[in-house]
Amino acid sequence: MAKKILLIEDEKILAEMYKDKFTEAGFEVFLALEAKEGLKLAKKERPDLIILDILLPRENGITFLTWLRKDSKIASIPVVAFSNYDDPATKREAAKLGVKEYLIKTNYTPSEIVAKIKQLLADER
Amino acid sequence: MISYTNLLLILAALVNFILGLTVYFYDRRNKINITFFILVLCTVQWIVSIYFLWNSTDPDIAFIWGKLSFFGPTLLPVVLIYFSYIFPNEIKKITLRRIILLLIPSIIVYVFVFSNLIINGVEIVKWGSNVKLASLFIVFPIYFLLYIFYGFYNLILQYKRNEGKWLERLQIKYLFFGFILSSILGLLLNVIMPIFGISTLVGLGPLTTVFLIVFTSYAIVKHQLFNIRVIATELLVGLVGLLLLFDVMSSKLPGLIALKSFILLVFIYFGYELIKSVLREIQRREEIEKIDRAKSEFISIASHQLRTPLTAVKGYISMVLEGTYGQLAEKLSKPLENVYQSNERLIRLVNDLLNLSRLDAGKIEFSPELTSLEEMVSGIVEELRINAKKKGLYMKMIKPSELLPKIMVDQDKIRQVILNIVDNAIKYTKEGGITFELKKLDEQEEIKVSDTGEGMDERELNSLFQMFSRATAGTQLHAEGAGLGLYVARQFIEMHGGKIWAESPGKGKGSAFIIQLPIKLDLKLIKEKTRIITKAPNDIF
Repeated sequence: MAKKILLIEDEKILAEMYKDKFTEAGFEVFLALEAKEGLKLAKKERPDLIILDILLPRENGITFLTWLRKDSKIASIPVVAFSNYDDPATKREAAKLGVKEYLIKTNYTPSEIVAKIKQLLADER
Repeated sequence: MISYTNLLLILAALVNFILGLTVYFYDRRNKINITFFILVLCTVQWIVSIYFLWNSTDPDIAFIWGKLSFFGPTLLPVVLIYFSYIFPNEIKKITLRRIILLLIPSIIVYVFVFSNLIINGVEIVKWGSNVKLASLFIVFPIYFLLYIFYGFYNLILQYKRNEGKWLERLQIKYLFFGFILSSILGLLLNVIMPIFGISTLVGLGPLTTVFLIVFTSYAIVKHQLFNIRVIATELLVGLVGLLLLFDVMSSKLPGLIALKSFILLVFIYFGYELIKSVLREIQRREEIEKIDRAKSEFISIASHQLRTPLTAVKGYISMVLEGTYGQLAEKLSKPLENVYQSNERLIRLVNDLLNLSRLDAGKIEFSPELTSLEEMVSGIVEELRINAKKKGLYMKMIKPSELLPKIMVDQDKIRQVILNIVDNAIKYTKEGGITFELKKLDEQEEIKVSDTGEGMDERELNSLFQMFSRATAGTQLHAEGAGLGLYVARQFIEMHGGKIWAESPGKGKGSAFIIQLPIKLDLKLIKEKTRIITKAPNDIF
């Protein structure tokens, strides 16, 4: 069965680009443009992994993480922070909230990020 | 003659007053600071009354001071309750009605005091004054205890509501500690012992407020990042001033009194100036820190904004090149590859600028991990081999003669440095190639990256690692890049306590970049160079 990925990304161009790439790579992709929508989808779809942008409209990625960790049903879903916001304090906070990795978008092509996520999911098993 | 009790009372009043004044003047509009100052005034009023009660020779006057000595302590718990509502955060709005409701019992207690229902006389004894307790004395400790418990309850609420906020919780703990220490000692000396007929130590009762004031002011200070040096300076100036004052008071010869008074005045003037200058310096530093914070936040946001379109370009071009959108015409692949490479250069520039601004603010993160340099370098060689091949350059790695032990380095940073050097080497080499060499020295490990490129003369070599300088070969061949990369590289290597430099036999003869990294990291040096270390030092070292 295809692995489910929840992508929380507010930048439409990037969201579509990553969605295309992950779909092409055989993932089932759910897209949320903001944190609340992301939480709803996480509860509904129970994805295998969440790719989370940090700077989002209204509540940011860190808030999303605190929500996620409080809900016991979805708290254990692995999260990869994927953002161009490269702020040390935010990275620390994200690490405290248990993100697998904090990746900077410009450092990865879509193929590279797909490979990275596949690797992470394989490690999860 | 000044007795020890008197000296202690004056000292306590002074310490409290100075702390109160300092906190108040730090932020005169802040509710917390104002409330704290009122709290301090209550304690000082108490101390002063006790001082006069203790030193009166006339029982009637002593009795008046005895009654007045209840004023501060009656108001104090009300102020404390108010304080517990607003510190460290306002938990809920305390209404005027509630304040008035809280004050009514205080007024009743005070009416009792003046109706001689709490104490009904003072007897002058040889160690001071003995206060005679009246029939309703018990009302006072009950009132006091109830209010203190109310304050405690609020503090516990505050503690619960500040879950996850370590600083706030620490502040509450300080306040709690001062609160408990003062309450217990105060109750013991002023209530419990007099009930059992021991009034000899009542004079020391107000001293217990020092604990409350010291711990509370420390908690406020911690919250407002207020420098402890101001308080230390003020206390020191205050205490020396006090000693000089005693010296004046204990002198008998008029000439000596005049001289010592003059010294005291001069001291007061300079003490005042000293405190003012310390305050000024700290305010200036705080302003700079504020600007620093705003600047680094701005840089983080700005680089985020710059990176978003770069990510889209990188992503789509890479997908076009990979054939995601169908077979690519051969004619198109070269220009698109160029777009991709230019975009990569822009991405690196943004990274360099971000690093530079962090280095500048001393805010760079440092997270060393046990690393095999050999593995890291061979990884990079594999990664960039394609790039080199496209330009017709070879890329080879000479393995070390002896096994290199793993060393502690910040992998991201060292990787970035090597990538930068190799990127330059590919850029400035027209034919031949790039050779990597790894070596173990006595206390360092060395990475040498040599190329068969343009080479550099002495002048270029000297200015290579400075900000905004590029060797002339760079200027002639390419116009991109602001020359930030090598400057950042040097900062990163020096942060590890290592060295980086370039060698070249001259123009057209190629060049070599040498990085030496210490096998054993010097933690002290890293702490000087960086403000933040991502992991707890114990985890790493």
